[in-house]
Amino acid sequence: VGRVTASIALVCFVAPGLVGQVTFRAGVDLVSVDVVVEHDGHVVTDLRASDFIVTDNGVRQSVVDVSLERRPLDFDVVIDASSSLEADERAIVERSLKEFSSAVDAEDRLGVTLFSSHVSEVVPLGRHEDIGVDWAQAGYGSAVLDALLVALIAPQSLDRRRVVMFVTDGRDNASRFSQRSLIDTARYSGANVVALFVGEGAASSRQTVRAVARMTGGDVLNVDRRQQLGPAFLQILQRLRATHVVRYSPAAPPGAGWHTLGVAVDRPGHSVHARSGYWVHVRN
Amino acid sequence: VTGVLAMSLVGAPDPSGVQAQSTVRSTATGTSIEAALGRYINGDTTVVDQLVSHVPPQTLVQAAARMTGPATRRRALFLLEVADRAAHPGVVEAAILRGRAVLVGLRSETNGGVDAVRFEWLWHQTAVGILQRSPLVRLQVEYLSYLDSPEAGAFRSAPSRIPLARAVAAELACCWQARGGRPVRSVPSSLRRGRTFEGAVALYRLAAKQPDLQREALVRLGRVLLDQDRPVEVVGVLQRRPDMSMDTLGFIGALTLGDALERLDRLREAAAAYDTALRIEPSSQLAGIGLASVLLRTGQVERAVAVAVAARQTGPGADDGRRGEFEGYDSRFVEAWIEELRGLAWGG
Repeated sequence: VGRVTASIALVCFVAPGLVGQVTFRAGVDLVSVDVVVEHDGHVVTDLRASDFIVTDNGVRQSVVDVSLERRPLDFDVVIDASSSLEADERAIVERSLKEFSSAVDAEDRLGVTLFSSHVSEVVPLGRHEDIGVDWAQAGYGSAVLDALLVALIAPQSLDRRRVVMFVTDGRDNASRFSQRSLIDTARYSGANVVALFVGEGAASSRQTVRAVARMTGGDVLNVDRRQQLGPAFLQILQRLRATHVVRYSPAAPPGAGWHTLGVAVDRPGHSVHARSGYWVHVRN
Repeated sequence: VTGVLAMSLVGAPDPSGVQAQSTVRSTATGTSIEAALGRYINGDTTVVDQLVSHVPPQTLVQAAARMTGPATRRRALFLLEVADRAAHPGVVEAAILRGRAVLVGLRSETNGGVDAVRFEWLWHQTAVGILQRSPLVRLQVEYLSYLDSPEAGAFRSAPSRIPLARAVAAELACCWQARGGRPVRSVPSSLRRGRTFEGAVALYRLAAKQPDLQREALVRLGRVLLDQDRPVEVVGVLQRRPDMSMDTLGFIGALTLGDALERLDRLREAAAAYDTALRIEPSSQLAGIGLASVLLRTGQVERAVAVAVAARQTGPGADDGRRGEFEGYDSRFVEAWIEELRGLAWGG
């Protein structure tokens, strides 16, 4: 038992926070997973431990606890903002951000990053009475995959939940990093990615962003126009506030490498949003 | 912008004394081509900037095409400088073609000599550098074809950077693709026809056999191989001769090697390559993102986060500057070459 505990403690030390929704505590041996459950388009908040079926690398786990406890949220809003974005569209986006900023809780924090062919943090993570976006940072092109990749790697503490709200039309003409690089990086990130696709489009990068959102236990929303961003932001907030934290005690000590998680609910017609796995590093 | 000025390209008080033979009319603000050429020949090289900023491009194109007059180095160089300063591709093409004709005439008048050979060699080399900056890839392809023709004379066999220019032109003609943040290029389908990526690769390998071109040829070859998603070959090209130079070629080489190694899942080696790129250009966002990603994936979480945070806070300037220099090819030498040409034209 002592050996197991040491191994788990090491994971904690090596990857503080970046395993995000899957946290280990030395001597406790619990894995925690954030789960949002929906039924008929509505979030469900009355589930018990016996409702959840959890597998870790295909092995059924014993769920010991389920709660609706809520950690403060860190929202990293990442916006596709090439210089082709018209002034009126920028005004709409900024207004949506202001509405969102006033809707989050006092303990929550918000930051804004713009991307074109490069990425620029324009509002640092924090509490903001008023959001002012410096659109001059927007340039030409659109590096969708690169922007999401760097957004996945950010400071994170175990007592806060980090959400990347990624707003894009999905048209990528400037990324240098591949789909595989992004997916591989997403496996190590503790952030939830919520993709907000604006307008119609079958751009290939949408598939990749969607895959990252699913992998991180996030969500995908489509809006026809930027005018709908404000309501979409609020919808995301509502869903995040209805997150179950599912804890299980691993049947065996989690070994190094990728662990595929399976989370389901034993109720018909319910859909589940949870990260698809987690990574365990062991320092040599 | 008022007034109609009579302008001539050849009526300036050139030492040759040849009189004006063609006149164009233009709405300009007071800088006539005639006066500009005269002032240039008398040593005022700043006049070229005033000329291209005040005279409409179409007027310059017509004037250059009609220009006649004696073949002098200053006249040839004046046209080359017009091409260098002009943003309009039509002006660039017209000025270079006319200047080239002056150069050919100059050859028969000067009867050779070391200076004359150097002037002609450098003029062509500079013209290629200017054309590599142009969005019209056709212009550099055609110019390089000319340099292979008998009319190009001794230049054909002179040592130069042209083997690398041929590889660049072949690559752009066969395989250029628009990407956000890249300079805009136009490659008509007729230019692409019959050209292959392998043909461009062969020309890069040929250029790499010339010792003074080897380093740059290999970095450029690595870059284009990566664009074609051939990381194994990239590593073969770039890792064999580690490049420790702290310049743009060193930066692009390290970044390209990092990308290739990352695609091959050789993450620790990729981290070392990205580290090198960041040592050369600490403000590079591209190198920072690459390094953060591979550090995260190799368990170096704290450093990965620090690098990613820094990358998000850097502006585009460093990467854009390096990329602009790299994708401008020999245009980075044009200013120095023109300075040397001025020395040869004014006997300084």
